[in-house]
Amino acid sequence: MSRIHRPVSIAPGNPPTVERTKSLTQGGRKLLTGSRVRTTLLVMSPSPEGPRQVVVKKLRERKAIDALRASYPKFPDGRIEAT
Amino acid sequence: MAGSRQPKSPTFIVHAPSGAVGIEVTEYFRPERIDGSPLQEQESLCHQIAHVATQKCIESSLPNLYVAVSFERARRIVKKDVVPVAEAIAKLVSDTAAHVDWSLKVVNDGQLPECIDDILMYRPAGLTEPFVGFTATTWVPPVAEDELRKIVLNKEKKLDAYRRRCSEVWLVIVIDGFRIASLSELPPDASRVTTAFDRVIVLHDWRSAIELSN
Repeated sequence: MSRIHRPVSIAPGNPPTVERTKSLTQGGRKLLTGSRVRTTLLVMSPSPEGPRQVVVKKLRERKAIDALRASYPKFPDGRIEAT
Repeated sequence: MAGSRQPKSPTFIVHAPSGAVGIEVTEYFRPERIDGSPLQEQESLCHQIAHVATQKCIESSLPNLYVAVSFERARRIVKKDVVPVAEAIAKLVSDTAAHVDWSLKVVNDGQLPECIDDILMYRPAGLTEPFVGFTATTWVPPVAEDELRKIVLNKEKKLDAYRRRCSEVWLVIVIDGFRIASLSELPPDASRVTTAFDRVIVLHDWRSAIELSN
């Protein structure tokens, strides 16, 4: 299986720049029987790891709650407290 | 004991007019392992290598190249690899930077650590310092529903404590399409889960919220 190398973002210094290519099959050929076939390419800037992991986790949780509020109509109104 | 504390509150509490709604946020990771190591650990080590390599390129005042490292996915990376692999990347950049016009691909023919497949270098305009990132390609598997159930069961252990502060408690499971370790497809007929949570919601790719129960 050959890889596809096509960087989709070359901008360092920004928050993790990650993009995804569109779903594709290879020439309409089903390569994995019974499986959804999709090739995905990620280009990532380094995310802080190690000592800053807790901070990153908190940021990701905040991102999740904001995304949920935006995409889930049943999200309750009210002040959000991070515990 | 450090690291085994059971938090008494969910990740967030929404103070709604009808009462406090607790929302516990957690992440889904693919269950695959590389020689015993979870994917998220391998992904984290790749980030660390890229980060250290970037620092070394900057410290050595190397040319302002964008370097994309492709790691050999079947080969397990361990923590002690981080610095030597990063140094090998920085050395390659140092040795070959002069040959990079717009781009240059260097395949690992044994001159690089075994965990590296190849390295692509670009010289984009406007780059103010060298930068090392990494690329990855994967077939996207369907979500492992057993893994989802395990997450729910594990999180239910905290429910009693959460209910002391909240009249309703939700569990949100993030499937992050922008991390190889989490990237998964949620089948349209994703099964519902039997749970004591008031709602279990999968947040897929930060865009769509899918209720799994209730």
